[in-house]
Amino acid sequence: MNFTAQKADLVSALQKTHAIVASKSTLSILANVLIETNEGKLVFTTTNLQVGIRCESPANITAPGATTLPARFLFAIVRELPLGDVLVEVNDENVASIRSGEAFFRLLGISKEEFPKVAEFEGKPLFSMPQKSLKEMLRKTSFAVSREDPRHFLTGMYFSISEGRLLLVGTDGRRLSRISHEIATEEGYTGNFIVPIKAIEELEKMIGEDGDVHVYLSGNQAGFRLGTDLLVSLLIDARFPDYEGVIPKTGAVTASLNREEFAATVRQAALVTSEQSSSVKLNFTSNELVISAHSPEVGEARVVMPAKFSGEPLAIGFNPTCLRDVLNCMDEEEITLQLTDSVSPGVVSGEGSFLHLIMPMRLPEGEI
Amino acid sequence: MNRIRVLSDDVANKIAAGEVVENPASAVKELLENALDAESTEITVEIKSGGKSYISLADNGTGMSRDDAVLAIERHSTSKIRSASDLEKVVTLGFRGEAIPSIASVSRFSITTCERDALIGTFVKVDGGKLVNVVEVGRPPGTTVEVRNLFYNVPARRKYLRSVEQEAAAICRLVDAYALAYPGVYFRLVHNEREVLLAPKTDRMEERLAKVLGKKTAEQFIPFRYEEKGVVAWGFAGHPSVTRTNRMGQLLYVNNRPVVSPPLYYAVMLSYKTLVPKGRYPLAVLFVEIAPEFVDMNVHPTKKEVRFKNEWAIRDIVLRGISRALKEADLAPHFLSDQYEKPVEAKGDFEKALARHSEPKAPGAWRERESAGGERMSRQAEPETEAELPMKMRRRSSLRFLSQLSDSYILAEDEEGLVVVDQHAAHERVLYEKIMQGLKGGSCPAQRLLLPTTVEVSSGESFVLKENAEFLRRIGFEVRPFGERTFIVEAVPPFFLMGDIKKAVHDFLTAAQESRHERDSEREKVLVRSACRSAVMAHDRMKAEECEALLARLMSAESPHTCPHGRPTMIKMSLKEIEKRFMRR
Repeated sequence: MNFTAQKADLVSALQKTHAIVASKSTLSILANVLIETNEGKLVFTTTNLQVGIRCESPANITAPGATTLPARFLFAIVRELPLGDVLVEVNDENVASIRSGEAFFRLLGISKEEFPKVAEFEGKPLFSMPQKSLKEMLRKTSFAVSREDPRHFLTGMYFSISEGRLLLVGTDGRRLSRISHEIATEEGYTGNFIVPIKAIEELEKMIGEDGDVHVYLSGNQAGFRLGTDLLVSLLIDARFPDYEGVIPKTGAVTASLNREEFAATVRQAALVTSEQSSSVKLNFTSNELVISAHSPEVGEARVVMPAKFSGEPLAIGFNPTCLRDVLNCMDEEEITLQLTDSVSPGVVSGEGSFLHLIMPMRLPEGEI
Repeated sequence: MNRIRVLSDDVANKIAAGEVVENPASAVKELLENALDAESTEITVEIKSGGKSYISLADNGTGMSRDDAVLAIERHSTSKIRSASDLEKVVTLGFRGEAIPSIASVSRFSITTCERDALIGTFVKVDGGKLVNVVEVGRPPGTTVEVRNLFYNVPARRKYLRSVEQEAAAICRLVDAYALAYPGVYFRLVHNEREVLLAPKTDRMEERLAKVLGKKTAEQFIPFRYEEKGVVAWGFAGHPSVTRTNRMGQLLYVNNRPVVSPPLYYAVMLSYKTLVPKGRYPLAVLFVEIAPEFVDMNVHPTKKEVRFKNEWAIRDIVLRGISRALKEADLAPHFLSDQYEKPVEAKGDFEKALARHSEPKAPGAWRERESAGGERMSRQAEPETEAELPMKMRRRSSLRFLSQLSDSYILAEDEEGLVVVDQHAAHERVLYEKIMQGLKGGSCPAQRLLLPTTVEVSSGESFVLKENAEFLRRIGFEVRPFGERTFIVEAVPPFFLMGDIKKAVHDFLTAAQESRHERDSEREKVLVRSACRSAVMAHDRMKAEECEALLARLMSAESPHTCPHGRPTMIKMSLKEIEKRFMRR
């Protein structure tokens, strides 16, 4: 296999694919990137067996073929080369000679036969939607997904399709983000699946502002096609819990709050909390929201902000990080916070379909 | 000057009856106590064949007159007490007046003695209890007692003596024990003409400790002194990383007398609770000083057991003394330190004494130990009644995060070198202290769950769970019955979010059932430990900031060096040790 390609094209392709390459895998082939030629294009593929990424770059192919080369070394080398043509020749022994200007490198590869198969998705996608929209949806949900939990369904993003809409739900057991958007799909299609958060994190890096994303489903794998790039992920084999049952139908207290002011007030009060596990207390009184916090080792804080609210005065404890996470992902100037009582979830919503639940924390005893 | 009188029957009967001499070691003990009571400052013990064939004990004490020496062979003759009321406040080691006659009746026995200001000494020879002859001899002031062929006339006893090595080890332990209590007395022990112990007079307790238990072991000791209600508990607490499988490494003294005392052993054990693993015993040298009227030494003829008037108070004083010292000390074990490379060097374990006796060694073999004086120890720890024992307080250093190893250990450095932290153990310790602190203030924070988890238990367990529901609530788990044998977990401690709730509940139940009969405060600790353990199992891969936060929290913990189950949280490798390994030193 011989080809000549622009350094910039190679860097861009390798950058996308090298993120999921395992740094210390027991399977040495997984440290390699599969390079194939296909009608005037190079196709790069990497996989860690859970997630696979494939992307293309233009090249002048003089002899077609395929090989695998160590991804990190190749990326490091190409990145250092001067701008311009990079000439790559791979012999039958999978030894690659890389030339650019005065620089010459020889890299030892492994036969492509050893590379695990990464699914191809042909035919009609399950649904399509603008990349920009999915990006927005992921931004508002992925932060709520658990990064680690023995309950595997919490470590993935729930995709649910029905009535021409895609619904995304992410939760870590103490908060939940939900958002929906219309999609282009086969009429009457209904289905759902859970994509691991590791794949979602990669998808968020790759997804752009322009063009559509086409989503495919095949067996226990999902594919996301973004232009010529493809991300393939195994699905989490679990049933997503009945999250709708936990969403309160009506709230006893409905407060309308300036988002940025609310976030700033929470941040100030949380300054005295020493750890992530601490809580801040929200106390709704007449036209005021008092946010207070105290930690035995550090001290106390009490910050007041104006708040429009309906219902009886109420005090409730929340994790400040959870509050700030949701406030930061939203764009509206005014947000709505609905509360039922001090042990039921608080509901944060804005203008669109976005909904966020936060479970309260127990307030320390004896505190008013 | 004659000092010895035969006690009245009244006094003699007050003294618990019984055999004093059971084996060579008990004979040595009686002779040793006599020598110490006679204000000796130099004591040499020489034994052959584990004391079976020959025991001699020479001192430079007050000595005896000719009449005293003869009278000493009669039963219940003593210079130490005179009336029954004296028994209430015994200050000497011996007081029964039984030892010499008992030993003399079962051996070929002789006393050579000379009073300090006398010109001529006395030699008394007794054979199986019968006086053979009394002659005048020359001897420097002091007394030498020789015991040959112990139990030669009691074949039954002789038959039940243990092997030479075992008897020798027992004697060695005994002499070691007394040598520790009397650093101001020169001790020398010779077995089969080989010197086993040579402890020159010293006014520094650490020096004596190093001589008797070995230098390496002595360096690991943490000195302590604590006084309350007129009772002084002082001594040396062993490092939690050095433990034994039995209590032989724990030497207890009451008013400088070696004793066996279950309440004191219990106090030592409690002080190390959560610091040493189950079934392991730390080393300790503990001295309790208490007014003689509050302690009864006359429980057992061998005077080994003592009884306190207020057992609980004494126990608590000792507990507070040792715990305080342990909290202030730097407890991280050094790995690669010599004790791990050459465990035999770490004497202290008295079983090693056996090896010393049975293995033939080059004559110079023990010299090394003798010269192993505590040059590095400059602390003055000999307790004085008024002076506070200067504590060796090493300031707690902070740890700088370096890297994470195999998702299980955190590598860090302090000013001494490399520190390897077991992240699970560290986490457990931090959580444990956090919960215990939260409990003091009422309850710990709880995060309510969006998706409550149901747990199924057996019908027996459901009772236990209901019984403990309130306690669980206080530590952050809100568990509510949900049908016959099903419970629903609605809230968990915030740190537990990623934990396995079902497993935690079952672990908790196991711990609750096992600790049912313990005192409430103890039981709570067990339960909290079980909760912490289940919490830390999940979180493995940590970001650098998380590691840093954990290290900071660990170092601000009360007992940062062990997890609540007693395993170490960290081991250290000093730069010195590293350089040694790379042969740069």
